Amino acid sequence: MKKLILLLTVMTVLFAQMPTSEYLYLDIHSNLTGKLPNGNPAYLESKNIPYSYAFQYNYFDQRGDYRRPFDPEAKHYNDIEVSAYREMDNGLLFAGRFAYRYEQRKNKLWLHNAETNINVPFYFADSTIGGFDLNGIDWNIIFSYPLSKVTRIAVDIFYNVDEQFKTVFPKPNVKRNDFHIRPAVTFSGGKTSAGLMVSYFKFRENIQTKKYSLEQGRSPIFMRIRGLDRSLLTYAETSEERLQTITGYSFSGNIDLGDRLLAEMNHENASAGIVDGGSYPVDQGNWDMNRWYYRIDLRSMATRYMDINIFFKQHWDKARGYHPDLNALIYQYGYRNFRGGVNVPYSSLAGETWTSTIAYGFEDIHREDNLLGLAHYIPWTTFKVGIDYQLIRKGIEYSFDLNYNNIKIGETLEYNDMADWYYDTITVNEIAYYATDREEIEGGLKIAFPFRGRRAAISGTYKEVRPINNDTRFHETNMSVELQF
Amino acid sequence: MKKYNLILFIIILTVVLSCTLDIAPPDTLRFLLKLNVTTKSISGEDSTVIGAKTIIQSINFGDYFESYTDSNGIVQFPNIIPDRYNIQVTQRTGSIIENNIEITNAIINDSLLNSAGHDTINLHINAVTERYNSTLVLSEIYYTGAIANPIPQYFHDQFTEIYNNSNLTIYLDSLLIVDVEYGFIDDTLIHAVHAYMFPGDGDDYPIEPGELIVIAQDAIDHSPAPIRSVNLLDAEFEYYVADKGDVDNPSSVNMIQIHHKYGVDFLYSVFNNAVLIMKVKDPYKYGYDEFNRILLPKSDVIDGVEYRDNLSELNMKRVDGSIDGGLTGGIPAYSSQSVERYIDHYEGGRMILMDNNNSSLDFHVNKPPTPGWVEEVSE
Repeated sequence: MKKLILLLTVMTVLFAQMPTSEYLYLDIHSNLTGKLPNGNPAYLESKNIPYSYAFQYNYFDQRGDYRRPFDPEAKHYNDIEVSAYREMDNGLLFAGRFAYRYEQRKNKLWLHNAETNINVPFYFADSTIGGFDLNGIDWNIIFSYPLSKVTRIAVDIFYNVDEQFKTVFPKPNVKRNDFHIRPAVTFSGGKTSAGLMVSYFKFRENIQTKKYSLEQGRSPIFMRIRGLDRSLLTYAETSEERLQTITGYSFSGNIDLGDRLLAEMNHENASAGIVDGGSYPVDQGNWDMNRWYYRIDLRSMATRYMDINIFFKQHWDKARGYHPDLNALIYQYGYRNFRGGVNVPYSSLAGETWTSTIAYGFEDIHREDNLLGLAHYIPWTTFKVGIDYQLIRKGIEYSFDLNYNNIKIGETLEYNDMADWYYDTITVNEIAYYATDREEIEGGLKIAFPFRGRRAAISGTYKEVRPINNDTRFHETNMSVELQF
Repeated sequence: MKKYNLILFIIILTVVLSCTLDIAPPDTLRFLLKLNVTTKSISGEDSTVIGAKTIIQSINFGDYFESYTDSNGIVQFPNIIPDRYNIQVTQRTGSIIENNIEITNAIINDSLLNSAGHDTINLHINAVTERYNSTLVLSEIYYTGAIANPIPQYFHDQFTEIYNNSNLTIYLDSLLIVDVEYGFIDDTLIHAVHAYMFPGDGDDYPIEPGELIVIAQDAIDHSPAPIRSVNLLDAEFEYYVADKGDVDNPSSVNMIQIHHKYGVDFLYSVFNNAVLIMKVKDPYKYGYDEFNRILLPKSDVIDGVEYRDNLSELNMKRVDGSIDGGLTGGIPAYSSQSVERYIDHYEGGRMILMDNNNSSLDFHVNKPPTPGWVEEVSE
């Protein structure tokens, strides 16, 4: 058990990473496999079931003036969820989660699309600033079954449906319908294990604006954003509709050689088709994204109470965008992330664990608009230190973590000779956002304790992003209450 | 320690690979557009068109560029973005007074210009040169309606102004003013939603050279609050729709209703439309189309002006180059703005309004509208 807690601790610290999957852009915070090795559902077995069933309330809040142009001024996220685990007599293990979400986004600039992914700026927008209210439900079920003592198979199915409204005219209504399925297999023996997983996903986003009529006396300007500049403008006389469908697949694998080596990799391909017009669709371009990721941990035992783990990981993305009529490449994006470091778990007493981490990384972003001849390149380095403390005493589990991350920007390059108004209004600010030296401070606390014959857990995290040379800030707060049965 | 060495080696190698990236100036699909304009002159000779005003407009991006052909008939536009384009070439020679105007026009609508990896696109344009008479012209059209201040959607202050650009007295009697339905640009008949006729027996309503007359939708004073628009009490004519309870100013002469498909008044669209003056011998000769629009012969058009809120939508035009080679407007509805001809020059103290038979070149936006007079605006 102690070893498992240690492993989960290390994973929690190390897996705090840049999004390696399109799924993460759905911005749905909970999932059942988050703490399993490589997120592989076939690792779910009776020995790591945390409870029979549980009720949970989560509150997530983001706000601040250090943010990208299309990010809302503030974002509140509430979810109530119920989750359950049950093992059948034949060894089939079932896990399920059902959640209701209510989200609010305050003063979001222009954009109708639910989430901001500037890596591929193919968006629909209008000229107003306003809030969005979202209601949604998502569920997630896992079936995991042991084929033998060594082999276990599983399938993880995720489904989300939500709807949001902008509170100001032309009141776009955004409906999302998302499906994700992940079959997986694991092989375990003694201290070693290996896993393979594939996935298929389809994320649909349907945006419809309120029907325009003369009586409203308003004439919103609609924008079709495609690349770094020169969004297409239309002055609406009727309602507008956009459908974005992202489909993709991925495969991943991991191997754990007990006290010696942990390795994992992932590749994902996602492609988006975008059409406007509802019944008479007009192609608006498409894009594809390839993501690669791998991580290697080399473990060694320094003393009876202390391990020393050296790790490194690399993650890189490439995206390409295509024009709907010209049959031409008009946009390219590249992102690279390398990070290496040392992780030292130390156990002094039974139930008490300290884990220290120090890591150094290099990242860069390159965006290029090939229709207009614009580009920029931003490299930066990261230096991260963190400590995680866990204590289990008298049935009460305490955990605390603190992380500090320093981001230092390298020499940026920008080709903007032929930039126009959109670039000057939006893209310049996106570049400024990424090309800012900054610090990130993050802390978290969790207490799990017996409560009237059950078990309860309260947790919270706080993160602040602090640019070095200006007074802007960004804050993230997350609180959670859980009752376990 | 062997495994640590291996890991360190991989780390260093990866860092080195990660940190080297050559960032070159971006590739671009922009190109140089080179237009070579030629025409067949009135005498039938092939010639290059020198000094012709050339306009290119991108349909999706709304880019607008204008330049003039050089001594070789060539005009160049650098750094053009691939898109669907409308291209117009116009040149006028001769004098309106001496009645020897020749107009060279070329229009290419909705043409996809894509360099497909090349730096330059060369395009040859064959323009058409014709003789042209500028006589009676539409000098100003106020179609947008009034700013909501506070009354919204007020359009009863619309008016049309006509000017005699020739050196002869012209009689308005029996001339028609019509608006044009979209979708029949290639038809030999005009499909008109409304058609109103000047009264008179042939010599009752003369318009002298250099004289302006105003036809109001409602010839009343629209300037007091809450409308705060133009005063049309002095309009010489008004559209009067008796069966719709329309306003009637007895001091303005009522136009005769020939056809009125719908509406409480003769309302020109506040977004886009084309307004024509026509001299038709028998307006009922060709009857009506299946949607109750009156049909009138295109050859009887004296002058026409087409306006639109989005000027890049040349591909949505209602009338062809024989009536109006361009498009004016580019202004939102309910903005208290009109479109008005430029003053080309003065001859003997009389203003000659610009008339290239192309409203893109001949008109400017006026705010506020000027019923009964022409604003002096430099081109």
